[in-house]
Amino acid sequence: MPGSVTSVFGEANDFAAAMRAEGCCFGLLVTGPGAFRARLTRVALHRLRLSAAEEHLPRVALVAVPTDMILVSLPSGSGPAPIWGGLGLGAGDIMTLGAGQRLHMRTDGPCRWGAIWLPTGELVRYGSALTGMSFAVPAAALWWRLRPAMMRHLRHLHSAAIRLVESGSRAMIDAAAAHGLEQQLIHALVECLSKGSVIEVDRATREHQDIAVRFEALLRTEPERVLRTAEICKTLGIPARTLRISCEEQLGMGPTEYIRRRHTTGGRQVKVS
Amino acid sequence: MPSSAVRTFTDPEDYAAAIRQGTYELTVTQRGDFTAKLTRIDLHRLWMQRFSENLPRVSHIAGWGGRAVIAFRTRPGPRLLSSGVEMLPTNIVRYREGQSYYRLSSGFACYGAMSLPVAELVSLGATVAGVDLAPPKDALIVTPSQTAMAKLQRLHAAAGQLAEGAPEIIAHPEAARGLEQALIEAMVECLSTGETGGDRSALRHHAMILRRFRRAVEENPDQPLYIPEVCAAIGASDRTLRVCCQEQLGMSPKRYLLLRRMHLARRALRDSAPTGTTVTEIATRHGFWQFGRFAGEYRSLFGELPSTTLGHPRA
Repeated sequence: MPGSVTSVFGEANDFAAAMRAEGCCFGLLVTGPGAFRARLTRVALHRLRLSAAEEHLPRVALVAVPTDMILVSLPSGSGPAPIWGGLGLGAGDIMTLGAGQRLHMRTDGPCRWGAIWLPTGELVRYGSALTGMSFAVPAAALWWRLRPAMMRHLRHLHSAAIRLVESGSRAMIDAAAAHGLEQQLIHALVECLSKGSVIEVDRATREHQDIAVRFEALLRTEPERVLRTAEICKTLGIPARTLRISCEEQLGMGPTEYIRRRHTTGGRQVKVS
Repeated sequence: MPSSAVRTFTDPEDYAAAIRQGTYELTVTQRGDFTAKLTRIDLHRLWMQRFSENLPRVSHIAGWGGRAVIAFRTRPGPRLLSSGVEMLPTNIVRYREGQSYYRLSSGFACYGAMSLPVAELVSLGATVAGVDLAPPKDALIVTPSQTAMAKLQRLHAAAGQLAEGAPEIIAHPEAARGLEQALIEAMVECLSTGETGGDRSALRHHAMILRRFRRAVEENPDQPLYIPEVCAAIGASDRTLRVCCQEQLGMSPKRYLLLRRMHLARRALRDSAPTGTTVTEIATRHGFWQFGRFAGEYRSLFGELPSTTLGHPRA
């Protein structure tokens, strides 16, 4: 049953809880001063879900994709886009994160972003039908550069649905409208993933992404204790320098600072469920 | 009892419904005031129709069992495709018995059709010309001699003029018989002496895909359809379907389905009370998400804005 909602948040905890309700685990740590303010619009179609957010404070979060879904992140509106795994998202780029994958998503200030969540099985099924070949959905995080027309089309579809919900239109609760949008989005995504070009990500960045995710997981094993860098490095099996570089690149700050903030931000810090 | 009728139309749907063979769907593909003239003449065994349409359009013609059908242009004009092959003033399309097909025009088009019971044509072919005139397994293009083609076109036109100016002559059984004999002779001569087209295996394969495409459309008469679900349903890739549609419909499947959605949206706008719904709701229900562009395309196709159609529901 299609449905949609727009929510405005004054608390990071509530914002993170709303994201968790979308089906992805979402740890969130606000990293800049000021009153938290965010707006999140969510559209549930039959099988796909769309979301768009506007945030005002810098923050870092760990996004975990459910095991049967794929996440597509795309720029929304003008202004800065989020930084995924230490890499910015250009105006003509999208990022895909496959089923069961985890990656840090960071903003360095006010930011807007859009996302599409869709079942991997649906994408494979329609991808194979449309291309006439077996269609593989990449599991690893991939950054794609799209042809301008492709990108425009994808953004139009996404933003039109979001705008309708934000304007209070009843259109998005109509089953036929939801079906049509879903079909057009699937078509657009298959085109993007079969005709777009993958942007090379160097090996070091991939390693840093992996280290940051493992670092986050380690912190969560003992949330009440302040772990020391040496202990962390020993557990992760990496030198302190590598940990520092990874954290700066992925989280926007060094490991010590990150741990300190996790403990001092109190109510603002949201633990991954 | 022989009869004839000449009718003019401004509504494509009415026109489609009046065509004897049964045109399930006729989609005008360019803006303008549609006008069409249909002349229908039923002699004893020979049935014929003459068509004249002012706007480009694509239509799907239903198969007709038991009768051998031919069609040809009655006047030169812009491109006219039937079952994926181009109709020229010099050729005739012979259809497979019961064949459903698409016909596509890219502008003003005048053409005619004739049909006889299959058994009758087969018998005439054997006795009069000594050739097998059983309906082909696939649509065939026949190019008769210039003289035979000119004769057939002349007689077909004369019958059309009689239907318009002196229908009582056609209604007279003896006069009708004479006209029928002359037309049948001309038809048999064209089919028995004409050269037939070459290899059509690729066209056959494409026609099969188009038939599945057509079935998917027919199974959802009131539902907007989209490429992913259509490709999944008919088992053809986007690229293959595009080639087939381009060949048979003269446009991509995306464009065809978009035009179809546009016509469904128009029907919904006409059938809705202006107070009960909005243009946005109907547009999104039919897969249009860029409302300015939808209004522009709608206007260029139907000559008015969607809001105007919604404000004036059909009685």
